[in-house]
Amino acid sequence: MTPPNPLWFLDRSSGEVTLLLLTVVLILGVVRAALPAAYPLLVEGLHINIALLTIVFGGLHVVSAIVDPFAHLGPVDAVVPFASAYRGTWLGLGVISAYLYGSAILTSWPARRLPRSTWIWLHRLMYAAWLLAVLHSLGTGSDARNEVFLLLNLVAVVCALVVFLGVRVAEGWVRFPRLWAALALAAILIVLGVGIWAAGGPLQPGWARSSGTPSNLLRSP
Amino acid sequence: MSDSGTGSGSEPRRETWREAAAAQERKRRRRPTDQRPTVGRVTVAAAVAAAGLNAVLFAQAGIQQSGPGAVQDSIIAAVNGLFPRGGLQPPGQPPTPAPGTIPVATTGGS
Repeated sequence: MTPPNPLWFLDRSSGEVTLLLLTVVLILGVVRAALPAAYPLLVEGLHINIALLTIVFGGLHVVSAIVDPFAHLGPVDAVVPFASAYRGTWLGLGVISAYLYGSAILTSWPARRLPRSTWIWLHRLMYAAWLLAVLHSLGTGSDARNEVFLLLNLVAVVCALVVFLGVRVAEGWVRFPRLWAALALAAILIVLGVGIWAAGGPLQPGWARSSGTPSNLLRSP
Repeated sequence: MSDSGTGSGSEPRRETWREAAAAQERKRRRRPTDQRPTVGRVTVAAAVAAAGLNAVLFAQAGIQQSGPGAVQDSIIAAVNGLFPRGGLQPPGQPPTPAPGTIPVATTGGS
């Protein structure tokens, strides 16, 4: 087995930072949508700038994964979902998350050319991008059981859920109580589902093997 | 006829969106720009915090997987790969004398 080199650690650390930045972008977007009068320039400016910063760290995450020789990942694994031999399912979720995030970014840049309703629905893909990034982090991440990484993931999920319920749902509830009650319930159930899945999967010993790690990379037979 | 009907249905919506966007842009330009430095400062702070956290997590991931010595060795190997003549060595190893100098015997620390 080839010992990991610094690029492998850089891949993992930049992946976690990308997820945290993505969470901040999501929270700022939720605040901007729900409270348009609350410091609009500040919130929107930070939303855009941190979204661009997320691309930097996301790029570092992808490039270091490709360059690093430990997991033998190539450019195809970074572009084609579920093509990787290394934890293909969970890595594929990260690839799809990147595509969804990229579509939200690209359609925002020339947003003025799109009908507003189309742009809004495309921008709502960020929720799916963020959720897939969380699943990718837990499923692919070698650090799912690392206390620091786990704590950061927990903080990110709790913050996103609290802001969604406390700001977005609270604002929408006034106009469409049934719709937003259903969305709030769905959000809570999704987070609970991810928690139950993580407790029974990535946080259990043996996940490296069952998640599809090639046998030559496993520490023990 | 049907083509023109479809076009007239989507064009007004596009125009409305453009007008709203243009109005928003005008409003943005009219407003005092005192929030822009704040946006810049917070963005820089976020970038520095993200880079710092990245470094901490890098070390954390390495220490958990390979132990502190392995992280140190891998960083030294990476630096030596980038700068082969830098002569960076782990602290446990004695320094290599420069060419043409007489080696000085060293003892352990007091």
